[in-house]
Amino acid sequence: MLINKNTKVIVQGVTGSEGWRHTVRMLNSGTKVVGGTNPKKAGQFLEAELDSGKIQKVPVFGTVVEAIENTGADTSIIFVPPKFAKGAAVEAIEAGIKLLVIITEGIPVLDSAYFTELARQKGTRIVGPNCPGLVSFDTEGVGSNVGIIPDGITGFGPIGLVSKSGTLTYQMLHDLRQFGFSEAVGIGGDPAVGTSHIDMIKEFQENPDIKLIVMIGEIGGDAEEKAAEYIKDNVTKPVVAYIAGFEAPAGKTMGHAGAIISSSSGTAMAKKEALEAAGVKVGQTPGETAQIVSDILS
Amino acid sequence: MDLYEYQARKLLNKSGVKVQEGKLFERNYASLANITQYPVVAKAQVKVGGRGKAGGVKLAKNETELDDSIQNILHLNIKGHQVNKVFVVPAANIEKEMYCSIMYDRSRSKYLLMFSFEGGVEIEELAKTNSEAIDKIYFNAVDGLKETDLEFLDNYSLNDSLLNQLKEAILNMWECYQEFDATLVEINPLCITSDGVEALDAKISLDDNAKFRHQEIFSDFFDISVEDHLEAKAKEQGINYVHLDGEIGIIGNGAGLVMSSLDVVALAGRKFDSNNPPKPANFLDIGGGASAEHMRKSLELIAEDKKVSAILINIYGGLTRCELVAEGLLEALNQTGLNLPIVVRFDGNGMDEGLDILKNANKPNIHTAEDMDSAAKLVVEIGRK
Repeated sequence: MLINKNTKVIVQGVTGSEGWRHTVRMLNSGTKVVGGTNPKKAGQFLEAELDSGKIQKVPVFGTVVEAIENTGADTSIIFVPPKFAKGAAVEAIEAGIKLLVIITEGIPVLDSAYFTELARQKGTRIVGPNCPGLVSFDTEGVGSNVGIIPDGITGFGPIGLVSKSGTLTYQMLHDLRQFGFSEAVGIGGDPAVGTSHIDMIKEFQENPDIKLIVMIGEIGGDAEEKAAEYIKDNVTKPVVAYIAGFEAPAGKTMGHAGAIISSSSGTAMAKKEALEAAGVKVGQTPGETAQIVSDILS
Repeated sequence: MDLYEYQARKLLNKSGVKVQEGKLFERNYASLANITQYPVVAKAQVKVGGRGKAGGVKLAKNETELDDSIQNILHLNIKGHQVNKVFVVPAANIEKEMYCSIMYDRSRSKYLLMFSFEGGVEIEELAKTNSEAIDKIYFNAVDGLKETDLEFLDNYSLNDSLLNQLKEAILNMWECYQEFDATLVEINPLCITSDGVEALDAKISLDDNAKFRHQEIFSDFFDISVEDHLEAKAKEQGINYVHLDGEIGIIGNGAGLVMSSLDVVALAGRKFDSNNPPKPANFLDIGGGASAEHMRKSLELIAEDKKVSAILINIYGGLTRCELVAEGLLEALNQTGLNLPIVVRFDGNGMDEGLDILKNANKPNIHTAEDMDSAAKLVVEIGRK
């Protein structure tokens, strides 16, 4: 699991409106948010009023290094605007953060290609950018929620989910809420991302709590085809997939910067066929996909 | 944003890649007096490949020939792209044609430099017929492209001066890629001419996400005349919209869910009428946009496409609760008086409250459905009534 209830999280961009809204939400869901960074507001404490009525103080540090020294944080989540995302990511990587979740949408590929490569070289795992983050569950409920995935949809269970899309992740958590999840990870829909379908499928295969893997893909790139090859040779657990974008025309970016069919590669059909050839069951609609999972688990 | 050849040449030139200077002629050009040296090549400026075969590139030896060529080319429609601009450059004395491109390879998470000593043909074609003639060099985004990465070029029989010029040109291509936030820099052909190593054609795509770093280039190079009218309007209003050719308007939240909505509607359409299936008219991601303002603009944009006969609104209430979307929708309908049939599917947070709000509003053109599949079935049926 990438995160659990002991994961200590700092928020880069904690003083921005989105950053603060989600900091409060994460605290409410039980995530250990131990601080945030903003060089201009270092030394201040922000006060989060939780649903329980409790007031939780969140210290603001000048740098990620200071935040780690003072809190022992191993994970950071980035909410800063695209212009500042590269600087924030590089700072977190250089400071030795283990897991870096980047929510920001609209980061130039030149920047995300740079910091995802730097992270690989320095041993930081990046989830995102342009992603909803991730949530893990344990037998007591939510283990940790690092990102913007809504709470209270579902609880602990035997499914591991990896997805390029945010709303389809929520939809799938909702449709399969009766079974529950161990971990759901939104890896993002950008051309350069830190975590691939394969990275998560590998984790899920090794996680004894997970009995079934759901992967959600979409047009663009060949991550799904690569995952199909990997599954064929390495995965013994059942894998169910859904691919979005059969109706997308070539050459048009469909919302996500990475969702684009170029010449002959990246089509939904090619992905579906590759996955099916690897023994993965692929649903035609999200509803049918949930039904396939339900049939296997029931 | 894909650039025209003449625009790509400008950027390459700024980064130090040698290109011939040329002149641009549009539909209303007055004279050719500023062309003094012949022969020249007149080249159609279109954002699509294969213009040579389509008659979009012509050699002219004098003013009369050039005038004819430009007139001919301006009448061309190449693969659906009307030619509105012709670029005229001095004809080069070509000794050798090569190929070179740089892009980001998503599947390896590395940059890919592709080079071929045998240029001048489509690289896809060359990859099929003679893939060994393509050198592929992968380099990482932290170190960038270094001179040592280009040592493979030493194997080709070039004299030192040309070899150095070639290496410099390729390193400058990488400069250009970074300087302007490109997603593709392709030179085909990259030539050895009597003047040395120079680019005779170029294709560059810029990263739309990096527009904030290149405002001036984006506004100078944006050509509204070739944009889809509705897509251009959407861009202006900050709406995430792609125009398609069907009849069912689609609004959803989140790129994945909207793409999925298109697929589900198309599937329902084929079941409804396999000979002439109803299809999606657009992609529109309303994001977290529950506001009446954003909903109104989105509905108006979709309704401006006169082919649209019905609209599907597909919302998963996550952080944006469904009742807020319902309120926004009703307010938008009151403002616009839009009476196209609308099928709404809510799920997730605030689903029941949202559906109640719509029910109580008693709007005859609003229909609701329980899930995506039945919503898609309903919207194609209503659209064809």
